[in-house]
Amino acid sequence: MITLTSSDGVQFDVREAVAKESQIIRDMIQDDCVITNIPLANVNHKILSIVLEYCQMHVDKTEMEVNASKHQTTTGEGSSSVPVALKVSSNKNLNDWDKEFINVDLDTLYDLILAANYLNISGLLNLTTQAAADIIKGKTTEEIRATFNIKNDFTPEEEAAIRKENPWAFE
Amino acid sequence: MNRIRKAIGTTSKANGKKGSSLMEAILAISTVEVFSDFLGHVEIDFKLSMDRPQPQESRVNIDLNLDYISNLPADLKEKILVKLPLKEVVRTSILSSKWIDSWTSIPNLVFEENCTESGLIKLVDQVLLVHNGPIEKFTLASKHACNEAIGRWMLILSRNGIRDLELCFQRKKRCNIINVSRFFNGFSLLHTLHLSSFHMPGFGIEKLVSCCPLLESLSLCNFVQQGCLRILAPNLTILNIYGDFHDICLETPKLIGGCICLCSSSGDYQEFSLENHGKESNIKRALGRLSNIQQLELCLNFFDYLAMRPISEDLPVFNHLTEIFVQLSTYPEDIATILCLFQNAPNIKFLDEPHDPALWESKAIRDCLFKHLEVVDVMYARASELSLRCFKSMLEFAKLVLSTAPLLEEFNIIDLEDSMGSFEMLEFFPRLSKKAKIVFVKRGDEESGADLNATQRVFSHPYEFKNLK
Repeated sequence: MITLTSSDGVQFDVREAVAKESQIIRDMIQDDCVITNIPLANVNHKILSIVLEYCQMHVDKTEMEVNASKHQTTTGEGSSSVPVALKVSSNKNLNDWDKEFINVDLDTLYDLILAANYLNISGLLNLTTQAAADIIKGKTTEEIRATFNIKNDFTPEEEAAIRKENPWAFE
Repeated sequence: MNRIRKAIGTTSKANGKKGSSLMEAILAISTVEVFSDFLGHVEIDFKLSMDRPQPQESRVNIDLNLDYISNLPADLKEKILVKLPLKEVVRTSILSSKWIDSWTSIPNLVFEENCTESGLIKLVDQVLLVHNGPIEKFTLASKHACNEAIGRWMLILSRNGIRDLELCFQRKKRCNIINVSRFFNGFSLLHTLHLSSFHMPGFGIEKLVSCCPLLESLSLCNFVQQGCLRILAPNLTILNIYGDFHDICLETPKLIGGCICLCSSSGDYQEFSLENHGKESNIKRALGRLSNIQQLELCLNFFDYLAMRPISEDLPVFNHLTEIFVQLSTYPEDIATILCLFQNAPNIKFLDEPHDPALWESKAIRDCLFKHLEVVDVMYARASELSLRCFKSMLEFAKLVLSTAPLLEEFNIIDLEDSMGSFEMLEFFPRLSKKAKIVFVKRGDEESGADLNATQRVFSHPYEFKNLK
């Protein structure tokens, strides 16, 4: 077990495998195997609990797959394509779970992007940035500004000049 | 604190543009303590906002302007932008001054614009001119050849660390000319190259491939090669060839997955083969150096090409070859060729799409192939014109494999059209292998089309699982 302490002092006890989903924690543990308490200065308890939920789920799924394929080989019934089929179905479930998981408000999404980047969890970083891209996708400039509260600080002349630089993109 | 943040978030979302007036109302009732808590959490936003001259009521604005995304670190913003179509990425430049240049450093450029040739050339030139930083991936899918420009783009890309290059033109006979610039020194970092419908006079495919020392994945489609297509790529692991060539020589010792389709309408390869009597047989020259090959797919005229010349005695043993996909006829030459291949591939475990069961009537083939066979895949499409014939030959084949393959574990029937036929009779076929089972796989829509990633084989939906006793 490893204790992770959030920036606001809340402690989370998690299994080593779960904590190791984070590359930065993995490196720390590898460098010094007696570390049991890791303070995380840039993640508050609310975001950390969400991040850990993600890690927990992904670790559980991976372990389930490993167990399933082990079972296959020990019982001698396995063939090369069965674990693949299993994996595909569980990947599908995991993708659905991810989709549901990332359905959060923008503030949380933003914090999750930063946390995933800080903790270096590539899967979560990919998931969160994809979610942000999906929100932008298909929206007009005005809609994007409204969604993210982006303040347009260009004068109309400036904006027209930028449009002119790449007219094809604004057709 | 979090609760209040969330409250603001949700109310502002719900009210859309009325957000700011609502924010003021909330702030009016919130205490100083809440405010300071806020500052702690939006520290980055606060600092950046302070750099800009703020109006009088700036303290209020800092808090209300919850524009997180604009203030993300540049590398994270890039990670978001890279997941959008290029057009939308460029459009973000007018969002605000914090976005104006964000798009110019994205490492992936994918052009799929539908515009005139001159328009397309102009826009790609413009983007390449303004782009600042390494370009790792460049994709151009166009109905125009861009003959005059493609050479200079390749030159620019070769100097910007390109790793993944894809140029797909619309299919035209020899019109899509790639004129390689004389300054071009090769793609020193290129890992993946995909060219479709092209003609490269003067420079040639062989030379282009040879000047990509790190190339791992190569795909060449819809091209005509006079003479021998020589692929010299020491690091290549995946190769996909679909084109018209007279002769082929693969010097790719690390190749793991290969798919070679020779589609010749003229049959020129036959003449070429007859004229150029060398020492090597076709099968030796084409496949003789692929000592690491694991998965091989040979289509259309390619088997005919292999069978053109006498079979080589000294073909290497393909110890790693476990999966084979063949489309063949029952001509005696073809059978002799595949027999030669199978005899040198003792570990084939996986067989795909046997077209005509008559082929397997040859006991020699059965003995050398079925001995190690573990998995067989059969595609089945009921709606096809040949459905009845297909169904019958599939049953014949199933009967044969089940009764003669001692190590068989799985006989997969892959249904292409969700039209499961009645296969109950399969249960009554005698089976030599105790472990053998019959699996029905329904193939999902997302799996259709040629899969370039030849090292992976994925079934999308296990349809039904029957363990026959």
